Amino acid sequence: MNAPDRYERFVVPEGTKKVSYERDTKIINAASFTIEREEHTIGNILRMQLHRDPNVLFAGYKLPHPLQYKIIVRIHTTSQSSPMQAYNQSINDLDRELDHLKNAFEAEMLKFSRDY
Amino acid sequence: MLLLCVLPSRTNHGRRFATVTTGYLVIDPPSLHAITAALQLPLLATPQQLCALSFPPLKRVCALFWFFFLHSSVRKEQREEEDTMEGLSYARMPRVKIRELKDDYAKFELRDTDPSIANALRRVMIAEVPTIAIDLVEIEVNSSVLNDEFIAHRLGLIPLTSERAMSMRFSRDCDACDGDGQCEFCSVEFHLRVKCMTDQTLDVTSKDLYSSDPSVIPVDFSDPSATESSENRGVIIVKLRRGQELRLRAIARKGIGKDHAKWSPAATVTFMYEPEIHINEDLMETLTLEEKREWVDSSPTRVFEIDPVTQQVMVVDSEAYTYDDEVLKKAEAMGKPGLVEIIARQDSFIFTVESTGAIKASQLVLNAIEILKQKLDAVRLSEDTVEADDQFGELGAHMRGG
Repeated sequence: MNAPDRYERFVVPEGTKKVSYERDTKIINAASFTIEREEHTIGNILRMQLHRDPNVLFAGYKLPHPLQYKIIVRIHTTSQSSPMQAYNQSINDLDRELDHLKNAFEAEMLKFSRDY
Repeated sequence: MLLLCVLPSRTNHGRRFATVTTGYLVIDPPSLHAITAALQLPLLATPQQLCALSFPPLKRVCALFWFFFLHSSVRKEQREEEDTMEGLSYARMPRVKIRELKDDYAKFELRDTDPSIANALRRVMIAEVPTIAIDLVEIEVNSSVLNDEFIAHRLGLIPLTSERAMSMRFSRDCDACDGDGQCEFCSVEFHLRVKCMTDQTLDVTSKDLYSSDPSVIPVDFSDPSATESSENRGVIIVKLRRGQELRLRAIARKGIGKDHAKWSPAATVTFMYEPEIHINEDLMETLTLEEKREWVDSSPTRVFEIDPVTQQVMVVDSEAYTYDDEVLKKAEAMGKPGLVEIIARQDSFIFTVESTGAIKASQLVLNAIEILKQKLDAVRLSEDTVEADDQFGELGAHMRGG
């Protein structure tokens, strides 16, 4: 009767931003990014990609509550970078990796269908 | 002066410039608008007009235009793009090798990447690649032994061929129909009318469903190699006895497995770390043949074997190892710890993908990569997120160290 709609798990409600961030008030170059309607899939790949960046001192994500459909990604960088820059770059890098993966898979499919 | 060539090209993931070629700048109409607006320069023609101008199509040139001011700003953008392209990129270059590929099954190796990517792919394949499934059922007549809800649920679980799903709309954001989700862009209609007129029990199956769209039909599980098997009649929905009837209309919609498992295109998706097995040959030689045999047999799966000629223990199938640690425990119990070393390689994965038949297994992998890319694109910091930062003004600039 009063069950919430199922799509609430993956549709960003109106008036809410998909991504927002808040700087840490005490630590320079640290910020928390709130990503609405995402979970471990995005959180974990972002975190691991951020760890590859030597300017990132800390990167972690959490799913605060299973019924709150959002994740919080926290990034702390050196003064050579900024959390926003590191965040953007990690997404760009992941995007490039997936592009490469897609091409590699398609090429392999072609090769496979030729060989067998 | 810079000669600017404008193409209505695709925006590359929201990046302003799709491609930068030597001497020419390729931009899409919306960014052209944005640039001229930002620089307060008059546009000689609207982007749409420019795109409509007829120029040699072979060269894909839609319009030519001069801008002096643009030169510097364009060069800056170009430089920035190059900066991130070289040196500063931490992107990996994964390798793929397909081992087996059938319509509903794929096995492949994925190397030079991280477990997080492998797991993200697995998760997306299971829960976020869209398919089409029956979502709304209007029952006209049901005198069968199963109740309406039971039948509606069974109908929902029937896999439908979903090659169309990626380009279809979700009915919740379809504007062609007024919210009822019953237009051709977001739904497919099915009809089923069966009545049993004989004394023999009649099976109502997925083959009795009539689709309004020939590309979206219940998946055919019959083996193409089996000849003339009239046995295979699809997925049984209900059985009818004499006089019983089932008449209904069903609406199939696009959805994802996260919403309801009926939309999941994956039967199973698994990945395992590739095991790397090193046998300590010196220590192994201290064992008698009997002991070797005992040790080899301690593995529940056939990973090791004794060479009949040299009587040496060798690895025959490292992937058969299930990380059960039995051989390690056995070596310890025999007083020979370190007899074998087994490492799970965290950068090599062996994937198995089984599809429900809704989409091909290979397409499932490709769709998953595409969906993951779209998801990443959606979480980019957008223009207005940056504005939210600007409210800090000078303080923000100060904190950024500028």
